[in-house]
Amino acid sequence: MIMTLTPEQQAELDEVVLGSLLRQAYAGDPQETSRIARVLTRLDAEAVTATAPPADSRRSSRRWISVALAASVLLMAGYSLTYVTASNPAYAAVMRSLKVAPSTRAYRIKMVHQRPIWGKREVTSDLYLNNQDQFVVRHPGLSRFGDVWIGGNATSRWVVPRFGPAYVGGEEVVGNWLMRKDIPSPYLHVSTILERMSRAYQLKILSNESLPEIDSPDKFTSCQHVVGELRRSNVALPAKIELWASVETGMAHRLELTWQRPASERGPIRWSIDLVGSPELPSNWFELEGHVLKDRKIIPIKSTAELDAVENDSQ
Amino acid sequence: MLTTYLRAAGCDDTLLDDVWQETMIVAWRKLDEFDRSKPFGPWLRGIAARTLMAGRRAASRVVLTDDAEALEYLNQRLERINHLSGDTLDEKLDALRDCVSKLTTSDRECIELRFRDDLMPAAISERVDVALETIKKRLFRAKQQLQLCLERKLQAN
Repeated sequence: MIMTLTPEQQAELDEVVLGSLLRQAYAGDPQETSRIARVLTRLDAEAVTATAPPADSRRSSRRWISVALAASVLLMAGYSLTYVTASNPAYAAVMRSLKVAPSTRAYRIKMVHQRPIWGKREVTSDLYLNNQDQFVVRHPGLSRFGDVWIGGNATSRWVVPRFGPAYVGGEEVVGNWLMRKDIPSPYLHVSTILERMSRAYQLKILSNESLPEIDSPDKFTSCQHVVGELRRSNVALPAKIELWASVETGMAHRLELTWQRPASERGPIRWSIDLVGSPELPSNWFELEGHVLKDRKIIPIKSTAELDAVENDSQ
Repeated sequence: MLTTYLRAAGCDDTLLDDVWQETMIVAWRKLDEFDRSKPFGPWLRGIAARTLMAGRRAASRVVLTDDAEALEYLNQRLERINHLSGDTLDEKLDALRDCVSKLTTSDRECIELRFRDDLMPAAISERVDVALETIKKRLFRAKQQLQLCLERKLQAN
């Protein structure tokens, strides 16, 4: 736009800007929090009424998405974190990480699990995510089963063991299969961790930290550091989750999960999840077909009872 | 920064609330259209400007030949502020606070009463028991000094 404002008009506007900045500097914006709340309420209402009445979980999911999107809008707007969400900047950082991401990301997961008598065991696996809410995990397995490929989205899963048929089913049933094989699966989604973090954890934001990039240790990314501590004791959930999210992009660069588990109990005690990069992957990488040969048998499993039957047949 | 922009555009509290909310709703709906290679602030302020103009509610204080031009000018001024050091707007405003701290005591008092306590010059005159004309001169001088100080800090960045 070509400016035709006279110097007097520009001076008048400069004075107006200065006045506005001074008011901001002195008082901030005490109405900001309530304004945000009203926007979220309106978005929430739109998300629910824009569709046919969904099942509770779907409604909850939509509500969650609308809140996450709205929060990301607010944060991207460049208001200070402390300004936009004066009551909880850490929550805002987590919400931002939920939304902002490049098309494909690869993470390295180091999992330390403990077993009575056997002691601790460390396993490293690779996690790939895309923007369509799909994921793939290459898991070395904890026993004789070798590499296992697991994939899916927020509600459904497929799993490709090293030998035998591949399985397709809901989150719970495939989760059951993995549990039987001693393969941990509850936190395959980085977004699941972040979502849990925002709901079940008391969050606080610490000083920014610079993290070295895994593939280029001489390069550093400035990250917001958010710590979440579990509100109610629950050994199944990590007692503490830490998130390092890029100051620039909001993307999760590192997550650390720590459980407080008695030494006599088996289960995870520490996970670290580090961003490796944004690799170019085959177009079917996030589909089951990308990880099985054509003649591989694929068994759909709808219930745990079906899983039991399949397992019995194969033994 | 959006709040600052809307205030600068002359919105009172009620109008600011309405436009702020509408801007956020529109931004949320159009988020997919946002070009992530570009800064977000000007995009959002552009939505706010269109919201203001669409409602023919452009601020009373911005009575210029072309409201769109005035709003674009405000947008550009605020984008410069965005380049001050600091991660947050509040941190960026430390530069302005530093400028205020360098004013004379009497000028600083006038600025505080005007922008912190939201008193008009006549009320300030009564409060500090100084002639109205003197108060106006102090405010004028203080604002000029703040503009110069802020400009130096902007150029240093």
